[in-house]
Amino acid sequence: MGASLGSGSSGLDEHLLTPAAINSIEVHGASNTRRSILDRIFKPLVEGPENLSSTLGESLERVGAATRRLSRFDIFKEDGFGAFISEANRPDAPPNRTELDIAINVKEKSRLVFTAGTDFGNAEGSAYTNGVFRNIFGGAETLSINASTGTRTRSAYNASFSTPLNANPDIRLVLDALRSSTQKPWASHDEHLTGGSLKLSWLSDSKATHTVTYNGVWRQLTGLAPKASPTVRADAGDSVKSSIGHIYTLDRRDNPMLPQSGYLLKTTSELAGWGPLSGDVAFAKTELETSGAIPLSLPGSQAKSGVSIGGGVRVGLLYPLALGYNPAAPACPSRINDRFQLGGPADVRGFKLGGLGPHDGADSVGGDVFAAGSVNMMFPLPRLGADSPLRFQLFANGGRMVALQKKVATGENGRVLAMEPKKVFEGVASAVGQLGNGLPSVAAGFGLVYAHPMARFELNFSLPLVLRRGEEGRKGLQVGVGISFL
Amino acid sequence: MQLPAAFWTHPPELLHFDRWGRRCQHRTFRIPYTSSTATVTMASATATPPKPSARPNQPAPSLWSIPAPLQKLFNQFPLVTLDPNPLPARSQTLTSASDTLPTLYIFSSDEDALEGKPSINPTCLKWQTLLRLSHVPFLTSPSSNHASPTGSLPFLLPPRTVSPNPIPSTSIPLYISRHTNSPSPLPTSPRSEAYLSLLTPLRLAFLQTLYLTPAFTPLLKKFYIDPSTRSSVLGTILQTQLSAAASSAVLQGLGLHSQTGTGGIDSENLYADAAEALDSLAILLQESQTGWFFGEEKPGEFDAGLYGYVGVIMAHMDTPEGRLGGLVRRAGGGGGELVGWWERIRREAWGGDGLSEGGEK
Repeated sequence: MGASLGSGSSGLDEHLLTPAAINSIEVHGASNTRRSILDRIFKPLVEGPENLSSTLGESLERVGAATRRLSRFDIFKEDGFGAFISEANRPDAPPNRTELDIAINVKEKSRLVFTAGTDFGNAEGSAYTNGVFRNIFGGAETLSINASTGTRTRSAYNASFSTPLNANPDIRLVLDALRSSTQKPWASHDEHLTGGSLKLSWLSDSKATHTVTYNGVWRQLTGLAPKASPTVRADAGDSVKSSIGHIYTLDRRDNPMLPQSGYLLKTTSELAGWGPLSGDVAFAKTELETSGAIPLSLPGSQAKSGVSIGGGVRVGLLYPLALGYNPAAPACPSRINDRFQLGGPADVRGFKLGGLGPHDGADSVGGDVFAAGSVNMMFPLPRLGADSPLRFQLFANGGRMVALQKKVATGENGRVLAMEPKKVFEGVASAVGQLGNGLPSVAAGFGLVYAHPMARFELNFSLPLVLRRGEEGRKGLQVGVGISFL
Repeated sequence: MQLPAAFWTHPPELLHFDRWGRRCQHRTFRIPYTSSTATVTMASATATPPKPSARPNQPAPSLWSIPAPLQKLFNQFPLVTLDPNPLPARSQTLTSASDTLPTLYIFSSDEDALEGKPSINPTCLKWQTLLRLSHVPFLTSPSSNHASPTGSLPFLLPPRTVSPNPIPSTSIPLYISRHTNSPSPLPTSPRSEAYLSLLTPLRLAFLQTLYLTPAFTPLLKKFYIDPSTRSSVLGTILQTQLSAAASSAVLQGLGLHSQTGTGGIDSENLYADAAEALDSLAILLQESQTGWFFGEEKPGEFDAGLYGYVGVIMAHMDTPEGRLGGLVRRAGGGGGELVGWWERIRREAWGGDGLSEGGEK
């Protein structure tokens, strides 16, 4: 008596309420996968106390759940799963209960994948090669090595080793090493990064993801443009950032690239240089991002209209701290590579990259406090309809970014960098206060949105409405490519 | 909701970086359809000189030129322009004084640069001394080679209000002559060119002492590593890079192949050559009646160049392990020519104690 799990034969349906226990589970095809990882998932099904008091339906449901869990390791092919059930011929089986032998077939994904390709975007071309070594030690560990080069990202090398903890696909430990060299034309310099991080990610019961990180990185601000501003020149050179961070993401959107309903909540917190972290920079930095969309239905129609209203808010704050253990020691204000940048086609549209906030000459030097928001309305295009990934959008967005100021008392040397904790607090409080003082810098426009599963593309026509001198608006067309938009 | 597997291997920030090799959020296409500035700059770059009246006559119906009605619309925006955002505190502190004064970017500690104290780098000290001898007011800022347009310090940045273009050290004499009243503030004797080669053995011995003598490692750290980073890991990396660069510079200076390794450096020879050069310099001074090189009335670029080395040696290396200090003292048969000259420059450029006075004028 063999029946495929997915076939839903009517004979099986009638028996779903009969008592049935799992006698054995065999997994076939997982030749490169460690036994322990399979045991973690399937042993409780056989040995768990509820096994003996289950119905056939419950037993099958448990097998299904375990199989889905197995698939989340991403080492088996999605379409390779198959389960076969047969009645166990055990002489000592109790007469009132069916004993089941279950065989699960899996197909392992290729353990070694190399890809290479080219990308275009951002007025630059780039080429990448990527190697993924899957299931290296048989415990769903992944090593991914990536190298790419382009005209803006001069070079980037990244190696990442990731392993599930406790054979649980929802808890992963990731060890990362990174070396990159990136042009930052909005502030006339290149930044070289060399560093590593250790991350622990897990999925909470509410399906929110948490990531806790330790990050140590050597930053080198170099390759200054001839006309680089004094602000950038003053920050040129080496610094080490040693920080711990936490990222919380709750994504309840129907489609991250083209949300029509649902919401996203993301918070990012970072603590650098404090206490044992040391390094060259010390600050607490936090950022909150939320966005949502509501579908609108046409009057008199139940069908999905494809029309939606959406909005998003992002706020961030950087608070300078004293390096080391003494919280009463003076703190140094932020450097350009730690401050926020705001503006750009995937951010506050209608502004150049880093177009908002303090500028020194042509350089966007970043801010310590910012708030930005956007509202948009999406319409499906005629004839293509609501199911197409194309939308016409109307939007208005704006933001305000200010930097911490230092008030120099009379008789004090204005060229001493460190600030007393009280001054830091007053400065940050005053910067937060300035966010609401006066209109934010605002742009509005319309355009086309195309949601590809990998990334979202936007072509917009926009005009800046409110601007601060020094800020760089963008009049006319602007193209944005990205995976997260304001 | 099942997350794509890649999500777990790469938290969001790195996913962008991974897949595309850069952060996707920051991708833009720049279409030159938005402003006429590109065309204007090109015209002024190619045509000499660009006459404003000539421009309307050029039809230039480029594909990307903006139609007149659109340009009219663009000119209406932004509707409101507010006051600029003030600069961040770090920038204010480090650069606001440079609104009115030029800034010399040098190797120094934060505190020393604030007080305008002498740099610990011979090349920086040379130009710092020359500027001070010329009584040109300027500020000093601690910096690193990464900040420099030429890849090495020092350089002079004019006041923000004057020009954003940094002045490389080689153009500092020109800057001085433009910003001082005396017609020829910098005596540059034609003979000085010939004697510049005497500084090379001194330079090699200086490199050997500071970068390749273990007894001076603490000083090297204090001079070049501590101002850059507090991290011991990065400090070690930077120090290794510095020592490697120094040893290859010494080998190159000796005409040896850089693969010879530091074992190929005969430090006794280096110090003997330096002693010989210092002797020659002392004799040269004896010949001069004015107390400055080549009989000039005022100390000039050659004096400043030698002071770059002698100033650092006498301030930091005049110790039992630092043989260069003794060589300077004994140069020219022990007549104290060089020491006397060093003290004269110090007084002239740096005031009484030669360290802190008159840092900022």
